[in-house]
Amino acid sequence: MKFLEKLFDKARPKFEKGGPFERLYPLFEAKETFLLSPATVTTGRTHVRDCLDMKRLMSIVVLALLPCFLFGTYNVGFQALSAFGLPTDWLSCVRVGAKSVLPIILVSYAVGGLWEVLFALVRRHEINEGFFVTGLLFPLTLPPSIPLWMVAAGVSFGVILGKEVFGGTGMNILNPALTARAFVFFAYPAHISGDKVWSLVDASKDKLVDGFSGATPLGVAAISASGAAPEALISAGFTLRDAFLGFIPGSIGETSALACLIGAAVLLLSGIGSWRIMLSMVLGAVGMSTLLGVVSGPESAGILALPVSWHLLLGGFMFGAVFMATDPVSAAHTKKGQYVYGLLIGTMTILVRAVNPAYPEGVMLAILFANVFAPLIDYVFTQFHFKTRAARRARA
Amino acid sequence: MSVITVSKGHDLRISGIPSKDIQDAPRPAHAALQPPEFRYLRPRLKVREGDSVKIGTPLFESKDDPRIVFVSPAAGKVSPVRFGERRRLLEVVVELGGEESFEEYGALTRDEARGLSREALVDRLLKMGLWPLLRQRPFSKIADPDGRPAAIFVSATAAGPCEPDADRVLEGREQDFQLGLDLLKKLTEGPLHLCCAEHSEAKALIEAKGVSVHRFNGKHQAGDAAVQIYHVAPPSPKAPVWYLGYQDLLTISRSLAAGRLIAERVVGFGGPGAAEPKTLRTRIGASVESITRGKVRSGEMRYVSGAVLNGTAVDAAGHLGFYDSSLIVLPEGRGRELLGFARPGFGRYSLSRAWISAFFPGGEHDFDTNLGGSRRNFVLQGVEEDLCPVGIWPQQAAKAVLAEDFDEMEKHGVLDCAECGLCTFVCPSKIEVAGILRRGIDMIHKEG
Repeated sequence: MKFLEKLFDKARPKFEKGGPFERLYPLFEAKETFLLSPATVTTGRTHVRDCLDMKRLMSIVVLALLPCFLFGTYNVGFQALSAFGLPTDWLSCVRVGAKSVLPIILVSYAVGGLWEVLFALVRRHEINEGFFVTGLLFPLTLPPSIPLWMVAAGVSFGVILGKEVFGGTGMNILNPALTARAFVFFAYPAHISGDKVWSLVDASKDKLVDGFSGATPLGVAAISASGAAPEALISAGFTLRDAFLGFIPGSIGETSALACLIGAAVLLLSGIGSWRIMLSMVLGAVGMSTLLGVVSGPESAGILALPVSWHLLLGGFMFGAVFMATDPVSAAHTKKGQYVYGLLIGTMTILVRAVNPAYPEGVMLAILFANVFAPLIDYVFTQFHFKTRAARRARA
Repeated sequence: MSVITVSKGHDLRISGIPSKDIQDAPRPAHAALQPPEFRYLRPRLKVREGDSVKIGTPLFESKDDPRIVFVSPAAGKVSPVRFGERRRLLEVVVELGGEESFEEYGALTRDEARGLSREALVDRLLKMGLWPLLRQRPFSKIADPDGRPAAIFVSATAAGPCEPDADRVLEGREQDFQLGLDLLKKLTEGPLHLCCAEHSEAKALIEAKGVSVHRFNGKHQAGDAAVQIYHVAPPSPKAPVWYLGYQDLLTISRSLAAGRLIAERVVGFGGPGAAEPKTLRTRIGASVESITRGKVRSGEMRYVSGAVLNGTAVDAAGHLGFYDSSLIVLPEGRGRELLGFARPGFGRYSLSRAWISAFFPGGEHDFDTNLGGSRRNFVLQGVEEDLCPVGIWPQQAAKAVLAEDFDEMEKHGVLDCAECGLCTFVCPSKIEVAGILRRGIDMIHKEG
């Protein structure tokens, strides 16, 4: 370890002001502080610090994402092998899954990382750790059959227009991973929605088992007849248990509610995730789906009356609630505002899913919508805060 | 009498807390006053190197109000004066020599002191150099001698773990303390508030007359004068209040009665770098050496006059601050760890639970001055506001300051900031939040 320190100490002058590699300082600093914790001491009047920093924070989020990543890799293989009627032992599933998932993640980190480095070098600031999370989050929201060049285009859009143009980590209005996904969604809709993309199979060419349909459960529910959504799901071969554990087709990381709950536990236990947003998003969904169930009639689409238990387990709702809505920068900042923010997302998700025939999936759009409203929500609650302070003064 | 609970704050579990038994410190070899400590002061030097001074001789005065003088806490010769950038006066040091003599102003009996008119009292306080002990809020600057405060606060609490125990310091000083209170009463038409700890049993506090007593409980920040003022009667620039600590009050009453400056101060010396933490009786502006007496651990150390979370770093050859009653020694944290962020993290100190050590609540912690990360933009929300003892939302207020939005700053209550340093302590983005808020306060002061 001392040897590492000496190595960096010797190299540092080359990267500091006046050195030949001055412009590449952010790259040097990133590598150095990744391996060795910084030796910076406090200046100013507060002489000691809490040891939580951005690196640790982002590491915890990545840790929380691992169950979704690991199960997702397995599930991609499982769905494909089941469709072919081949044996689905866990080793084969992981092999098949990894073959498609790992390249996507690699491209996401490499291309996104390239942009991060470029912006850091040009703007002369340190490379920010926020990217470690975005780079893993984005692939988990994509279908496994997505072409790699679309992953590259999406992550570029997300990093540049979702984050860097605003000033980098901490300055963005929108969730960068969702911005990236939204770009792919609207630019290449056939590759990210519909029935054909969720399994690693080509229904027209491959020899598949009888009765294979590539639809996700949410897709099945969306076209079901009035009041018949749960039956449609059961007859398509989906059970609540499968949906909870994650043995259903969908985007790579979002199928397993259980994996998301483990991630939620990590985020909540460490004190990094906002329980307010997670809870109120679930409550919003419960409220809106109950309301829609009440107003739906014999002429309405089946999805209006889809029970809330299905709604929570399908369509990446859990994944969005735990990892996307809780992004601290793009969410509401005030505590009370976070309740309203979460409620808004939960409500909008169900509304978009049930009422809009073009989009069976609503979480991404609801979160982006709420991102845009977050500053307004904060403004309102900040005004209340001001009133409370002024009233306190008047009383004293 | 009321008990006020300050619900937010944090008790820093720092190691090296001194016992509260008071011992005498050795006579310092030198003592000093440091002009940068006094907010918005523009000092004019009144002595030069080599001059002989007595205890109570003016060393410098305020250019904006020359009646306010700052007098020497020691008798001896003036050392070479320390200047900083652009001839900014940093420190005036006096080397003690032999028997100490005083500037005499005429002793008063307690009754004579009580019989002084307001003008005569103010006059004496100014002449004897005792005026700087009176500060005003908002802005935490020296009180305006021509001002009429809406109230006066005496804070008889310890604001940090290393500070001396107020009850012990006040033992035997009941008469001096009451005299001080009676004198303060002359200075305001409003109430005189006395803030003590909930379980304080000092005779001087229990038998205090002519005051509104407020008992406080909560974390250490509940002992901070600015926090106490906020919870009892938040002041505004148009209706300022004056405040001082209980030791400041004792200095005033004892000096006035004796007719000479009694610059005694009880100081807590501790921290992870202190080999023998102790509570010591010394004087205002005493040298760091006389307080540490060399009982400091080996290694690169930082000496902090004041609180750990809100204190001034001073040299090993430096001096205690004018208002400070603790001296903390911290090891400089220049150590590096391999893949530090990825370790499970035993033995770390964090208010979050992002490290394993959070699940094994520990005892005292050997803090060092390591920043614990790199500076980033604000990311995590709500962590600072959970700790602010005066209910400010530090992150949003800091953003208003950075945007130089005066209206927004004031509505956020930036003037109520007690500068306890908790927001800076906890910020995971390593931003100097309290420093930004201070800049906001200075901006408002400048605008008038």
